[in-house]
This record gives sequence, structure tokens and C-alpha cells, in this order.
Amino acid sequence: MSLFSSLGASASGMTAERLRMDVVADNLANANTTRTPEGGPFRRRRVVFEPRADEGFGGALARARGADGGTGLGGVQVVAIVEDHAPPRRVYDPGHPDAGRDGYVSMPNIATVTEMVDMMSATRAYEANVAAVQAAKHMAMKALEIGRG
Amino acid sequence: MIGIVGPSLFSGNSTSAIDALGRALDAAALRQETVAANLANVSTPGYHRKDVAFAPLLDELLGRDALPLAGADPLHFSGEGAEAAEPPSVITDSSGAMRLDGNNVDPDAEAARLAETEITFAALTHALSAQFAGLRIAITGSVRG
Repeated sequence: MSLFSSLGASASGMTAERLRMDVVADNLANANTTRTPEGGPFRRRRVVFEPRADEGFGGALARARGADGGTGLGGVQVVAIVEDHAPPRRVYDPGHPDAGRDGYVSMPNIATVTEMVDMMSATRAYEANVAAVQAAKHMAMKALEIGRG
Repeated sequence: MIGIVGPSLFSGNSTSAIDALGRALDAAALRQETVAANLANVSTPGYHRKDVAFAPLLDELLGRDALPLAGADPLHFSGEGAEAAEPPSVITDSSGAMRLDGNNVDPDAEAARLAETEITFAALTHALSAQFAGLRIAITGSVRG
């Protein structure tokens, strides 16, 4: 039933976008964190998306037959959450407990505007997946009405 | 006397129409699946959008000489409709990356495609219901069923 596997693809998209939102929220919450267990300021985190292989019976059958991953419509998956290696923001604040000898503090490499844009992009992508779920549901209900009346 | 020995209920035009509509429903469902996969990967760098190849399939079918099956009697099956039995295939559309990350999914275009597919699917289910309603009238002999 391809309508159900399309629901799976949309669900994977929603999971991934939600995780992206979580990471953005974490970045924003730590926008001013200068101490971490690893030492140094907090580093911005980002998610890495990758297309997911076909799940379910159709995909398993295609793989067993040696075809390359079936139709390739499995949706998306988050393969990693990586740290942004951009250098920390240097702020002159001699009174800060984490200030260096030169009076500069290493602040997290987080640009609030970038995070806000990322957040909006994740929201819109989530909504697009919701629309796809609604359509799949509507189509499945329509299919159930075949032959009635 | 031809009229009396006409095509039977389950081998006539209505059955081939039901077959064709069923395949069209499968194709529409597959298209919805590609749209869902594209929307799920709207943020995946380097992802190329998937679509269902309808037009190449149609061209292929139109270009082919659909030879009728040989029959000893004019009432034997002509094989008409059987040439459309190939399933539609999923293709990867790599035309022009729109974004810097190499992803060419346009959410607006996908939303339009989603609405289009949904309406097509609903229309096909209506047509299929009408076919079954016709069969029901033929079986029961009354419009009320």
C-alpha cells in the first residue's frame, strides 16, 4: 500500500524537522554560554539530513532482489548532529569571569538571526509534511468510498 | 444474433475500464508518495526530487503499434487495454538545482502537485464508483440496486 508508505515518508520528515527545531532551540538557549564540560564556549550544533532508504515490505523486497533500494521514496533521516567549527565570537568584557588576559571573552559562535531563519525554515518544512499527510489520508479515505452508493 | 451473444459482464468494456482506472489510481498513489518523499527531503542538501514518469510512458504507448490478438471469432478478446499494463516508474529529476545546497525541491510546486494528485485521485475513485454502479444496474436490473 503505497499510501501508507507515503505516510511513513511524511512522518520521517516531521521527525527530522522536529529534531532540527530542538537543535535550534538548544542553540538559542545556549547563545551566551561561555563554559562547557569540554572547555571553552558552547559551539553551535547542526543536524545532517540524508534521504532514507525504502522501509517496509516494498523496499525489503527490492533490496532482496538486488534492486538499488526500490523506488527511493523512504523519506528522510538525521544521520548526525555535528558541531559548527566556526571560530567563537570575541567580545571585549574585562569584567567577565571567563575573560582572557586581553579582556576578551570567547562567546558561542551562534548568530541569533541565523537560528531564527533556521527555525522558520524547519516550521515551514514541518507544515509541508503535515499537508502531505492530510492529502494521503484524504486519498485513502476516498479509496475506501469506491463502490459505495 | 450478435446482440444476444454479446461480451460477458466481466470481460467487456467495463472491466477494462475498471482495470485502467485501478492502474491510474496506483499511479496517482505513487505520485503522492513521490511528493511526500520530496517534501520530507525539502531540507536535505543535494537531494534531487523524484517524480513519476507518466508522459514518457504515454509516448511509448502511443508510438507502439497495438496489434490486436488474433481470434477465430469476432467476439474473441482483442487484447485491447492490455498494452497499458506497464507500471509507471519513479524518475529522479536533476534539472537545475535551485539552491546553493544542491537541493532542487520547490515546496510550492510540490504543494500544487499534491493538490493536483489528490483531486485526480478523487476523480478516479468517482469514475470507478460509476463503473461499479453501472455493473450493479446490469446485475439487479434496477437503478436503485
